[in-house]
Amino acid sequence: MTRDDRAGKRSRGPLAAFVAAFTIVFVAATSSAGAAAYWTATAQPLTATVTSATTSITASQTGLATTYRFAGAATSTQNIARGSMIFANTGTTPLTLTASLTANTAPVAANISIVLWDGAGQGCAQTPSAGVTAPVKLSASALPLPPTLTSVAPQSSVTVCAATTLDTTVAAQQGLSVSPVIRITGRVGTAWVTSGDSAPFVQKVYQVPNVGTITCTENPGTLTIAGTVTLSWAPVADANSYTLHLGSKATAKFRTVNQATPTVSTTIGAGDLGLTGVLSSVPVVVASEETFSGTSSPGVTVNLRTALLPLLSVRCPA
Amino acid sequence: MAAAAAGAGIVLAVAAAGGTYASLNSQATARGAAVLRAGSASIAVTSGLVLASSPLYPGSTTRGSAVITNTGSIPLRLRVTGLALTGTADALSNVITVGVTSGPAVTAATCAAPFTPSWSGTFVSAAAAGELPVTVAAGSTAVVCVSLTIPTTAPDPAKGRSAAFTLTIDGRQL
Repeated sequence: MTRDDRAGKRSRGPLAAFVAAFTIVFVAATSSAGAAAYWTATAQPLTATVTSATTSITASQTGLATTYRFAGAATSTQNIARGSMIFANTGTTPLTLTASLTANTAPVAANISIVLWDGAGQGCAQTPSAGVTAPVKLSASALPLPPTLTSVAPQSSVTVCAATTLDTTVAAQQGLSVSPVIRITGRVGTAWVTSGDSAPFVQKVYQVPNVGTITCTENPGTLTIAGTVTLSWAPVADANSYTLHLGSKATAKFRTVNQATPTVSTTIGAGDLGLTGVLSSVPVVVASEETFSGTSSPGVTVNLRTALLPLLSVRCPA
Repeated sequence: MAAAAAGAGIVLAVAAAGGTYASLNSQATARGAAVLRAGSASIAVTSGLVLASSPLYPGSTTRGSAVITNTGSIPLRLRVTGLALTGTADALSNVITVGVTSGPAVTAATCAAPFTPSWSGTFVSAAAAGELPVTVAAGSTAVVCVSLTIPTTAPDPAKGRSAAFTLTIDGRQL
């Protein structure tokens, strides 16, 4: 190594140190990976409790239990029952409502129509001329609600007026009945569903009742006079007359007895029964009749007996 | 000689780099004997989260607000850093979506009306921390809006339940 070489190394040493120091510090100072500290405040909690709503609904009705008993077919004034249904949202969420009918498979339900309307401002006493839903039969499953009453706020209720009408004559459906239940269903969202049922309300079609206890009294005959019996019973309210049938009510009546007080009675002989021979028992059916609604009771059977002597006589049941 | 050169290199490098890049700043006027004080970053909940009392049902949202105060000495950007149930997960908590927002003009009243969350999360999957669009000056407050929503498809078992939760907020220096 020459003197010049040593001098050159000495002269390059400080330069290398300078360059190295500059580079390291400059890169560190300008690099994105350098110090970029943030001060962060200690996190603070926000606490709360959220609750979800409950769903519950009840249904009730008044005024729809009825007995149809007028004479003609349904008109604007006959065979109509009016009442109201109250659907109460007892939960904490608003609900959209749909209604349906259940327990309505009795045959007469197919002959009774129901319409609904919003009673706000007009009440339920009369069926309004407008704003009434299309009639559906009580035998239907869906009961369309008035458009204004298809939702209910929580802790509120809606009142729906209803009118039911017998679509046939009373005579045609006499004695039949149905006890439908109104089911109200409330929904919110796609999965929250609740429902409530009203108590059953009985709708029946009038039929005059049967006579009560029939008293049979024998009228003994003689050698020349045949014995007879007298049937008597208490008068039936609403009945105008009574018919007597041989065998069953389906056969033609052989006698009509008018209403009388305090006792209705009629005497029956063998000739009345069309007897020409000896029979051990002859059933006689006594049915009540009324003309207001044109109904007839199912009838009560009395099993009379016959005797050969004296002559061909009729006797009371054993 | 080499040491002197290295020192000169450091000095020059610092000068060339334009100074430090630290984000932390505090100011002090030096008169005579200089006193340097560091800034501080802290927040406090000065009004806890209050939600509307109306219960949740499918498709509904309940809203509320809280007030955060910057109790430090530097401006802070609020940030949601956590959301957790206090109790056990159930059919209700599984369908809740929590939304949070804030802003300079946000008030408790505006929180009560529908708002677009700046941060959303659920109790089912942890969401990443997210900044809220508000910077709170030292000594100032910000109202934080919180919403909880359940979808129209919420299942029936979600009825009649409650969910307690904790939403964590911090403040980060800008």
